[in-house]
Amino acid sequence: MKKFGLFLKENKLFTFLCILVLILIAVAMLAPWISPNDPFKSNMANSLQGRSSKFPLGTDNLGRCVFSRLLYGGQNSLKMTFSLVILVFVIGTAVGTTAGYLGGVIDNIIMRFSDIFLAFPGIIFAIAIAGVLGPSSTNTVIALIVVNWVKYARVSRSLVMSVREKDYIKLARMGGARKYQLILKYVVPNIIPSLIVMATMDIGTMMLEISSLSFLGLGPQPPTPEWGYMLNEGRSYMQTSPGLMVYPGIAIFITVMVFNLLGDSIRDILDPKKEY
Amino acid sequence: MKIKKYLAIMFSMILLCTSLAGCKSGSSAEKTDSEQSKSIVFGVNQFPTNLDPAVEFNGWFVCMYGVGETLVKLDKNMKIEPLLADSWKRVDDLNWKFHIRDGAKFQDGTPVTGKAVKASLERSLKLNPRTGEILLINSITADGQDVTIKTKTPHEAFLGNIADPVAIIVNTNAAKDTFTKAPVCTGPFKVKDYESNSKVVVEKNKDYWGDKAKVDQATFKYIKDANTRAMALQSGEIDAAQSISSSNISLFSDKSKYNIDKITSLRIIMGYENFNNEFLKDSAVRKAISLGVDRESYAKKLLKGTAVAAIGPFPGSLPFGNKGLTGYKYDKTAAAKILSDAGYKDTDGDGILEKNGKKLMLNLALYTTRSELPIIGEEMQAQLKEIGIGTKLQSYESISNVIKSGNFDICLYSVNTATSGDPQAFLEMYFRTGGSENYGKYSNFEVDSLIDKLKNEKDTQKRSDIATEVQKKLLEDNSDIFFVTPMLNLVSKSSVSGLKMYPVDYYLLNNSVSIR
Repeated sequence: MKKFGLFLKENKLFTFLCILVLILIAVAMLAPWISPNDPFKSNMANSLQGRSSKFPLGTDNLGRCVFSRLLYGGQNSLKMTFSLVILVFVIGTAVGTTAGYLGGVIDNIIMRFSDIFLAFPGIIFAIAIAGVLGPSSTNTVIALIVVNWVKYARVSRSLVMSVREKDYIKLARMGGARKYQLILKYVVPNIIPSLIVMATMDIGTMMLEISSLSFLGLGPQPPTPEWGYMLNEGRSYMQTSPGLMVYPGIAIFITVMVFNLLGDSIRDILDPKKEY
Repeated sequence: MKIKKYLAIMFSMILLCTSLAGCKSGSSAEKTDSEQSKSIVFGVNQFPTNLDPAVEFNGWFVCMYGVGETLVKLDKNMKIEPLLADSWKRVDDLNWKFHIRDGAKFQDGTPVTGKAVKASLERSLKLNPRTGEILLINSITADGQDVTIKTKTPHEAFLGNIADPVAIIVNTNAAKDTFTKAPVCTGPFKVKDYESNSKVVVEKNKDYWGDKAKVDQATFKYIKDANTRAMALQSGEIDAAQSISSSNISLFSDKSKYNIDKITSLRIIMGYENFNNEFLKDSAVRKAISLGVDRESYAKKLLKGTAVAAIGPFPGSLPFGNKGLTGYKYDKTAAAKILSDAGYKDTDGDGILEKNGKKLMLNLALYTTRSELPIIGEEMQAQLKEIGIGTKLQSYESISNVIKSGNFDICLYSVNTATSGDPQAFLEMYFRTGGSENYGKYSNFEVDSLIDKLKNEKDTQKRSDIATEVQKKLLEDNSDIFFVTPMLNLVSKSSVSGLKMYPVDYYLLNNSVSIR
């Protein structure tokens, strides 16, 4: 415990960012309790109002509270982003580790397969997949998994290949460990930190990709609030009520920035070259 | 990795900046008008596939550009006015005789004779199935400046339909490659330049038979996005813009700078109801939906007065629109009562009613190219939820395949009703059993026989009465949901004069338009 306190003290930026992330998550998850209004409740008489005590950030074209929608939207955005990152991480790492450790034909097949995926421009490929599957939050996540798993597979494969020939692995093999034991007990723990750094730094990117898809109307469908879609909805009111576009834009900006900086600071901490 | 991260940050910055850019109010430096005093630029929201007036709906654009003319035209009140034909006569039930204006010339100098008109109409009949459908032409005979058109059956709406730009008179002897790029017609303007999906430039026709045009050149720029069009008008890139959206109309309220011309269109925004759906088969559900949508507020508040609440399918500006019809006023308690009387109950407390163990959930399909539809769709979803009907919005880029396959429960649709000033064609296509556009498969024997009666009724007043009867039945049955009649608008800089809106949307540029 004391050690942990010391660690936090030594890495002030990291501590600060962690607190910010926790606040973001807390705000999003507590949305049902802290939002001032029902985000789905439309009231045409109140449409496009400015800021007021009842509607802290005004109302949208259907008269719904923008602030409440931002909070619920954050919940949806974060849920989607985290499930995407976790799934991509698990799938990519599993495939990459298998390929890297087994090598040979299997490695070749998997890697050529991943080359095919890499040959497509990412976001366009995702748009195509989401378009074919039909717009919904689940399908957005699926489309982005298909596009993003390759990166994790390739990195984990090369990491596995670099530890595969290490002495401790050889030793474990001599000790009679089975393949899956080797992978799970000796290989994975040694490659996981770098991958975690990569995943943390990817949260921001993934969030932007989700927002882009839902901006294009391929994400969660109305009336579900989502930041990217709110941006799109606000677009037609860009000149008359710029707030409808500015607020979700700021929300995305802040969230992405916080996660990116957090990823950066985790990398700095784990960087072996750094002298303490 | 690092690059990606910075890209991410930059992207969100750009998003932020672009959104803030909108905060700037007023227009920036206006273009000086003096150097191009006789040129006008329009921003248009639709663009033809080519300029051949006989193909698809391209004639509508050729007419809009002031290039093509028909025998007769429709005025502001949908009355028939002479154009290329200066007089006409209905010889008997089947025969219509037109006299072509003496001195009318094609843009290449050849005179417009009865023979040329015959050739042009026959070309259109050959190239476009719609021409035959709306005109029912049996044969055409030409004699000097006279043309006699014989229809297959007595055709009451013939005059209105011959004003449809599909019947624009073109010189059929012109070189073959001119039709798609610069058709030789008779209007006050002729095509100078055509760039596919980008712009059309027309110039003054110095040999026009009537009053010569007041501007030397006009450009029609294709600007699809409503926001971009509004901004182009603000920046002075264009002088007039079609269809400024409800969200932007308030930007042009300064009367010293802009003219806003509005007119009730002949369109109806309606909702097809699929009669193959087990819930929508139930008249109680359809009635509850009709009562559960607040048309007044949609028009006034949601669409900021860019539409008027509808009662039946036809707009109030037509002689058979809205008259003698009661329609439905928003009343959600009555709607909820109808549903509960019909045996719908919310047993699991999720706010959605059930009957026989099935949830009252409907797919609500819409398309985004008409900016009103997504707005109405979302609000409708919220309002139907209040009376216990759940809906799932499905938005499509293009709706035609969806409605043709019947793959919807409710489908929002914006459509022109009586462009010829006569109700028959619209009623027949959209509400008669088996009608070509009756995608909800509505069928009522009485409606069918009333529509059939229209075919033989000659008296205009009686035709209107029959149309009213049909609409009463449609409303009684709730064949579809009729939401609002959109207003057409045309916003122009105050330096532009002579622009006038017509209920039909194929008139725009003409010889009286001028710019300072």
